Amino acid sequence: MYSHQDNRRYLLVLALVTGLLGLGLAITAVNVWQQSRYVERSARLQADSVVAMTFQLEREFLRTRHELQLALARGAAGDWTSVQRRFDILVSRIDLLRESPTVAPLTLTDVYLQLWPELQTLQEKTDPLLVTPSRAQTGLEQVLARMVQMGPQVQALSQTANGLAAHQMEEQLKLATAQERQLLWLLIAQAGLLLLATLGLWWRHRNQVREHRQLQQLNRELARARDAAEQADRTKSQFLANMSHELRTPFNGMLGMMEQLENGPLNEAQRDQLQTAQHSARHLLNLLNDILDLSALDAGKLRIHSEPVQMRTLIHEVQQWVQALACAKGLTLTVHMDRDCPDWVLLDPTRVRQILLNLLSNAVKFTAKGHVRIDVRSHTQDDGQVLWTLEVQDTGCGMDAATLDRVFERFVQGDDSLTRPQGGTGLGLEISRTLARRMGGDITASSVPGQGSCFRLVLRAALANEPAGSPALQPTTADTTPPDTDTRRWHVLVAEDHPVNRKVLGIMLRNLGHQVSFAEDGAQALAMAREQTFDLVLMDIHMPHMNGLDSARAIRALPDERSQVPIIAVTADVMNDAQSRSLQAGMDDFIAKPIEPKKLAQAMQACVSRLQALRPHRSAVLSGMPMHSASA
Amino acid sequence: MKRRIFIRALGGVGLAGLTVQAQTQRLGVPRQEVVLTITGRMSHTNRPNASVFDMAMLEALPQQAFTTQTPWQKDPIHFAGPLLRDVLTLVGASGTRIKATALNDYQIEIPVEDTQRFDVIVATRMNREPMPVRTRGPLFIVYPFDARAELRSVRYYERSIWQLRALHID
Repeated sequence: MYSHQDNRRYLLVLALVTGLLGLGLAITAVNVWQQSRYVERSARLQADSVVAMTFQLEREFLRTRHELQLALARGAAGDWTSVQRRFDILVSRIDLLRESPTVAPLTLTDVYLQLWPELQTLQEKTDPLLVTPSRAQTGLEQVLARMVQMGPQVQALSQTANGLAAHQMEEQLKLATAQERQLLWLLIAQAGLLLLATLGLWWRHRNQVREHRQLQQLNRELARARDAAEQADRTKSQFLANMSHELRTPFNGMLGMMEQLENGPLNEAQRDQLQTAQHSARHLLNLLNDILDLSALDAGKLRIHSEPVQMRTLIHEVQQWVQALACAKGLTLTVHMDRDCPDWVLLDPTRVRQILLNLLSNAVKFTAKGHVRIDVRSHTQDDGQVLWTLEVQDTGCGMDAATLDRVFERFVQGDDSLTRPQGGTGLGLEISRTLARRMGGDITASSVPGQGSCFRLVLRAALANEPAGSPALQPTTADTTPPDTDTRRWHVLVAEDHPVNRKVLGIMLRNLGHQVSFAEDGAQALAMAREQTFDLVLMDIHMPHMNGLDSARAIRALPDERSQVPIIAVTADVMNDAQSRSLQAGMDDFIAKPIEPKKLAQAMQACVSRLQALRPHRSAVLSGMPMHSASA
Repeated sequence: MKRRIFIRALGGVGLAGLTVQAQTQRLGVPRQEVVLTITGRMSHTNRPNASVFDMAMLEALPQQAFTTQTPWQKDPIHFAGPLLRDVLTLVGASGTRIKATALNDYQIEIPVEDTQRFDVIVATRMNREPMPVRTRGPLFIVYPFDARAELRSVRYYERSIWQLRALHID
């Protein structure tokens, strides 16, 4: 397999080699052409000039000799000016033979070496005679005689030059031939190299095509594997959602019916048995919730919804819930909170409550005697974020270092010997810590065996303004006053396909003093909501024919005031988007099954009072109803 | 009618006489030995059918000088003299070819175009000295070989004629 970079480098090298070869070939060709031309030209030039020089010398020598002969024949009446001119020209030729670089090879020949001093002597002897030629007839006669003697030598020089030129030409031709042969070999080598490079390219290309095909094959296989895995994942998620729904539905019935049984006439033994059954059922529900939470966390489906939260109230609320447990074991449960802690911050109240509840219940669970204490401190950072530190300390059995290391791991529960009496899934701490981390915080623990443990929850939250009417936390205030005393008779529509659930809800609502109508699916619910005025609709999401979401949307689309009826979604499907989808469909709140009467009352009251606060124009419809006093 | 022709002929003769005089004035008259004779197609003359120059007349023209390497001597040579095209302009040459002849009867043809493309000079001095016949004087047509690579070829070497005696313009 070639990497992309490898490939590019290879191609680059190949292109370079090919380019170089091509260039080399071109250069070679040009060189050959130029060289042959140069050899030809320079050979001609040198031959011409050496031959021409000696020829001109010989010619001028002969012309001067002839001129001198003529002048001497005529004596004083001779044309001596012409002789002088001829002699000057001859001298210029002799000088050229010495000076000109093109004649250099000639100066090494014997003929030249013999002739040159004689020409020199001739010039030296003649020059003074030519100043007054008419009076130097005798001397000039001797000069003429000498020149006649020198004739063959001068001609020999011309011949020597001619031979030299021919020889030079031959040498150059030989050289050129040798060079051409070298160039030919060079060309052959280059052509061979080019062929090799082309072969290499072809080979590589073939390999690449094959690998590409293999890669495509692999890709197809991987895609198939991925599709299968995704399908399996979807099936798993679907299974989880189904199980969640399927398990919660019987729970709903079981808990609801046990609640009703508890209100009936029972003897002591029966009541104890019933309470044990209830206890077991709740425990089972907790386990189920933990497992579902963990699945959601693993799937990355669990979302954090931040809203303004009053920390003091939230902590107090959780303390209230655990207080009963603590009291039952004879433990003191105290909260210490710094006075300067900010009031409202942005946090997900559900998740913070869940973490705190987990830490506090653990502390109470593992403490036999003594106390559980919560210390709350806050520190406002420079960037406006508030750093909360909540320490839960107990005087329980504590943990050794090894246990402490593993306490946040999945399915780990302290010491085996402790596992039995305490129970639990072993998922709580892991869920809590994951949640804390998702909110930009963390949970750490320290412990001394036999003396107690300390769990420290750190949370990071932005400051928030107090929301107008603060409906989000209204349930906590409602909690202080029993709901059944506040709520008058409402007419409630229950849309639920499961007969057991219908029965349970019906009993609960009637016990709370409300009037109940039933619809068995979404379409029926819509029809009833169109025909009659209800104070509240409890809408199951999963129903045949028309599901709860569609039904809620259709009710909201009704043309009259009946479209504004408060709707609470009821479902056993607690995966996160069930809640958001029901809110998107226009419903006002969400209750997870199994439904407990207290939770139902709280949600109903919160919902109606919030709607009253947010939609004052609805008061006209509701004013005739007894429930408007709930907002007080 | 006849009279008019006669007057015109008279005017023509007079004009011709004046022109010759003007031309002579423009060229000048050699006072020393004649070193260069120009014949052929030209508009200005100072002899019948010829323009002749002595050394002083040539040296009176604007001088051009350069040093260049030549094939005839190892060392670079400094040449000075009037531009050939100035000489041609002076005589009103109108041909396309110049036949140059040396003292030893060497003849070579120089295209007039050469004088326009290159600063060809009629050197009167070599290495700042007048040139006797023995050093290939008195006149030497030289191309500025070192100025252009194309000039360093046999074609221009053989057009560089020494011991120049005469120019004939065709």
